[in-house]
Amino acid sequence: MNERSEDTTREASFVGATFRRYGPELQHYLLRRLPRAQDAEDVIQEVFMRLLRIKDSTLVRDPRAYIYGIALHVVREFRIRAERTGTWLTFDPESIRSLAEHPAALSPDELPDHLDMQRQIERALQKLPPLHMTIFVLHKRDGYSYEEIAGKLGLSVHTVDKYLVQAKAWIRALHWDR
Amino acid sequence: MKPMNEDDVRIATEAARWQHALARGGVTERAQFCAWVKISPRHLQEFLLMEALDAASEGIDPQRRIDTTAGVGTADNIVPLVESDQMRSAPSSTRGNRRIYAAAAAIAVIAVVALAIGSQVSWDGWRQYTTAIGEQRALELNDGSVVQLNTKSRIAVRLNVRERELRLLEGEALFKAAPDATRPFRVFTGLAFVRAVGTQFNISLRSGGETVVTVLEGRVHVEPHPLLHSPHPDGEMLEAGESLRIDSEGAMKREATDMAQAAAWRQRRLVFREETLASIAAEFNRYNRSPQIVVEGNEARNARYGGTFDADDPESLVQFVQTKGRLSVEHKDDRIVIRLQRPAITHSAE
Repeated sequence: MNERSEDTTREASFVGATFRRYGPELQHYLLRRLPRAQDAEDVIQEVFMRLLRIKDSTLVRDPRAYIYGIALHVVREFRIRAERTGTWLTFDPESIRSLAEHPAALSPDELPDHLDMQRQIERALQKLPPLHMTIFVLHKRDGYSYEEIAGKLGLSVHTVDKYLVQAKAWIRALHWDR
Repeated sequence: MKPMNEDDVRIATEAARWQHALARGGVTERAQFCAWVKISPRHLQEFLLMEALDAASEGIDPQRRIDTTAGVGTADNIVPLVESDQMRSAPSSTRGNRRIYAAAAAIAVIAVVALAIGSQVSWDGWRQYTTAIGEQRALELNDGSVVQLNTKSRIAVRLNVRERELRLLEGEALFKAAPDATRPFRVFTGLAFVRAVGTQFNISLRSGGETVVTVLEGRVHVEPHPLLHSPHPDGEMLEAGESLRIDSEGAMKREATDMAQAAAWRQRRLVFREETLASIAAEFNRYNRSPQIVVEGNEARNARYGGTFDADDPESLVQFVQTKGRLSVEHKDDRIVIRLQRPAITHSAE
């Protein structure tokens, strides 16, 4: 803490707060946009450029929140720009508010996308080797920890971790490669 | 989005690995992650996609149709894996295959206890068949293979164009694999993979955690599960008339086989040769819901006997036990309790 400059501390805590406040919104945004829209690629490109400006990565206390924080700024800027030019699809402010307050709840507009993605994941799961599928489902659907899964299946925690990584990469490959 | 190539898969794998590392790691991991993400926008994109995938995964399968037992079953029932070469190959049309799995229909033949227990198609293409206590069934798979399922047994079947996969999850079954050189017929038990082409064999999962494979016709190859680190990692080839016992450590032992014994259960006869009274009782209890046989006391449980019994008649065991002077039998409600006659003098028994 004391090594960190005041600015960075402020920045980090800002990002943390931002993430807590807008994390779910952003996730749903990414969920909706990333697989297809050119906009998303632009957002990514911009976020990436800004990430490159971080000089000392060790100062980033929570990289995930940091990325979300930056992405959030970028998304906002894109939105403002788009509102001016009228070319970019915007969020419905009402659904953003309800999402921020009830992260689990999805707006009626987003629900189909979300369900579609879930279905795609479920379909991809069918193509996984049984053990990968089982570990993924036990973890994601049933909420078991790595340790619990390891105990249940007689595997090491390391193996469970490895299979989960493989399962995700596999789902990712099957999901968008059709 | 463009199709994924090897490089994409590698980045996706790394992204997933970073998610896990971030969740558990410290300063070093965080710095390394930042460095990784700064290598290319693709890295960032894959990471965000993985995050989105995680977010969507939380709500999958709300009706809980995905069966996590057909694939893996119990703790010691681990399935083999097809590693990443499949991951790289394009997932082409397996839609047709799925229809074939779904068509793996059964014909129920012997349903002694007419309970409404049928097969259950699990969501991922595995079809499960179960028999209740006392029930036996024969299933004909759509490749012509026949599986006879003994009492209180459970099997999962998945047939596709490349292979015929079966998992014996509980109990005992006799397999008659239809010849088909293009599609191996493989049965997975918790401890071993049994591979056969055009043959007849019996697999029994014993209560003590052992698997016994007996070949009645043809040849089968039995390979212990790699995670067992068995002293016989390459497995053993079994000829007709041979039998192999695999214990939970992966040790494999050939045994003299009584061919009649291996398949006697189909006539609902139980044949025991020097088995413990505990396992004899357990076997009877697999056939009969009531009365249940209870053996009390370690010495009585570990006493070994042999004989042939009618599986549906626990009283035949009672009569047998009564000829052995040391044991007493008591009927309690719907239980038959067997114990040593005079526990006070157990030290004088053998």
